[in-house]
Amino acid sequence: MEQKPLRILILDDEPIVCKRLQPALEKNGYEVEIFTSSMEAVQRFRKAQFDIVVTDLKMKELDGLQFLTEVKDSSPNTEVIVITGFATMETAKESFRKGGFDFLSKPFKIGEMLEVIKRAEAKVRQRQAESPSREG
Amino acid sequence: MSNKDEQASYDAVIAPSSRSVADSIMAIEKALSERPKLSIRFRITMAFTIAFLFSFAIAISSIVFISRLNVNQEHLDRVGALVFNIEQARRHEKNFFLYGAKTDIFDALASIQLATEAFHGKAQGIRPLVSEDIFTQVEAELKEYSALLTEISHAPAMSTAQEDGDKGLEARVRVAGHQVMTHATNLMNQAHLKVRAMAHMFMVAAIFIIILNLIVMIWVATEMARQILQPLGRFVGYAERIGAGDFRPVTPQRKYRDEFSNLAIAINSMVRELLEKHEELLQSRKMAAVGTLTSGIAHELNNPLNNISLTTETLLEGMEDYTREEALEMLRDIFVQVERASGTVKNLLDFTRKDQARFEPVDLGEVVESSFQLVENECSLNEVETQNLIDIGLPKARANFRNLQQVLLNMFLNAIHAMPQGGRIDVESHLEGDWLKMDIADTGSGIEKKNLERIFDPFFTTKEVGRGTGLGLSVSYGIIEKMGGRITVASEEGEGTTFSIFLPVWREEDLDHDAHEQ
Repeated sequence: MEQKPLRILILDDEPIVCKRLQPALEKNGYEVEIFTSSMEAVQRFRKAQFDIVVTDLKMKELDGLQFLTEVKDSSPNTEVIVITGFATMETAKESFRKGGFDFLSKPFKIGEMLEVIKRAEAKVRQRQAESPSREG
Repeated sequence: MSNKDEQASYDAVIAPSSRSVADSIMAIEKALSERPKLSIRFRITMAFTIAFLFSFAIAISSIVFISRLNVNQEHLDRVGALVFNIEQARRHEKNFFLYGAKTDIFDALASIQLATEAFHGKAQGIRPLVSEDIFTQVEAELKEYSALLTEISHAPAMSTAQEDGDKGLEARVRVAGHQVMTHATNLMNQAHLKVRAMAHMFMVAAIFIIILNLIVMIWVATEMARQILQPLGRFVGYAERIGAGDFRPVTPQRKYRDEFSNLAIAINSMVRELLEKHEELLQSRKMAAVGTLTSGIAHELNNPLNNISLTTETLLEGMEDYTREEALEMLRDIFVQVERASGTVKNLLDFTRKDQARFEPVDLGEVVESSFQLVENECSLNEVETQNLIDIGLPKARANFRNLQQVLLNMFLNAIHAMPQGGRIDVESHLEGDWLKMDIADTGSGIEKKNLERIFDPFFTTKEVGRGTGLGLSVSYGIIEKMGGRITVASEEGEGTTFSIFLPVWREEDLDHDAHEQ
């Protein structure tokens, strides 16, 4: 039986990141929504269910770590992948502590992003298999 | 004047570069060392030697004078003995005429003999003190009196003589005795008066010399004080001036080379060192600011790199999947992102470039905008909003773009650190006569009143150890002061801080004027 495609939310105030990742991920069978404003992303996340979130760290208004907290609070099963232009041990630790799935520093390759998302997908699928009741 | 010359002189006038200052210091040092040498040590030694010789002369002449007075006193005693013996002779003479005893005449003769000895002996010393006439007179009369007494002593017995009409001889003896007595007494009185006059003169001379000595000493003291205190005062002025950041070298003020010339040379080499250190400090502050910005810079570079990488990868993976229009748009994206990255690098290099600060017309709006760009990431990370409210039509300032950028950057970073919970930085401008005023207002924690007057002091910091050097604002102050402007600060605890930078308005004649001055 064909599995239901995973839903991915991408948040980065760099529009090019969104523009390039969206088609690349859709080609790999994901449903992708893109946001360049964290406030809009939060609003959308409250309404819709996403399996994986990819978020940038440094942003105006709400930053990536705050968005990560927001996501994990309202939907603990959603895996969050953090991307950043300037990675330090502190920010990496902080994002893992807050429940981030992985940490990717810019510049990254689409292939690297795909690989991380595949691992996140595996985790999500496994969890879905363990508790099928949750499935709608 | 060629254009190039004009440019060079322009540099020298406005911001003395360390090289031009070093050259002028060398020239001044040469001028200072080449003047004839007349050291203060030499002058003090001379003054004291002269004073010593003067005192020495006074002492020697006093000794001579006093010894002369002593000698004269001895001579006076001899004259006293002369008068006494003449008196004795006369007493014996009187007795002889009263009683007729021959022995009285012999006694009188013996006394006169003593008187004559006294007169020809020590009493001669008195000669320069009295008139020559009286001296010869006394000498003659003494001889005559002695002769008359001798005559009487050879005459027959008194009784006959008296009756024989020897009255004439007796009268002659009496007269001669009286005369020699009178003149000898006169001589003695004259000598007394003379010696007393000498003592008086000596006293007057002593008083006169005391006054003269006092005047000379006062003159020497004031002259010494003037020659030492005046340059000392000047050097206090130099030290204050240099301390305030005016690094012009000390120029020669005196005709002679002395210890102060050496001090001037030492101060000038200190100025040269200070100038070098000052420039090093400016540069190190810039690098420190860049260090603070590292995360921002990395972010600023990694974002465009990421965009380029993603877009290139997309094109490489499947060029044929995209229409020509789509592919072109991606290439344009790459191009724009490359521009963005190189802009960041260029801005950073411009900022850190070490160059001689020259005055130029500076658009305040532009410098504020570029400084905001440098701290853009710091701001967004700390949720600080920035607003550039500089009036569009504002005249240009007479300043140096990069140095002003450094000052603004430093203020922005301070403001960001003062607003850990986020806030805003507004930059406004006002035109006040010939001055442009730029207000940099933040909504941070403010500065405590007690710290407010110290914030421009070097090494003063309220940040924890290792976070701030305490040099940012003092360097900023120095930079603005060098441009002829000033910085003021107003702060309300808990409300925020406003720094105001005053800069002179750029005038067209600024360039001409500076060129003419040369």
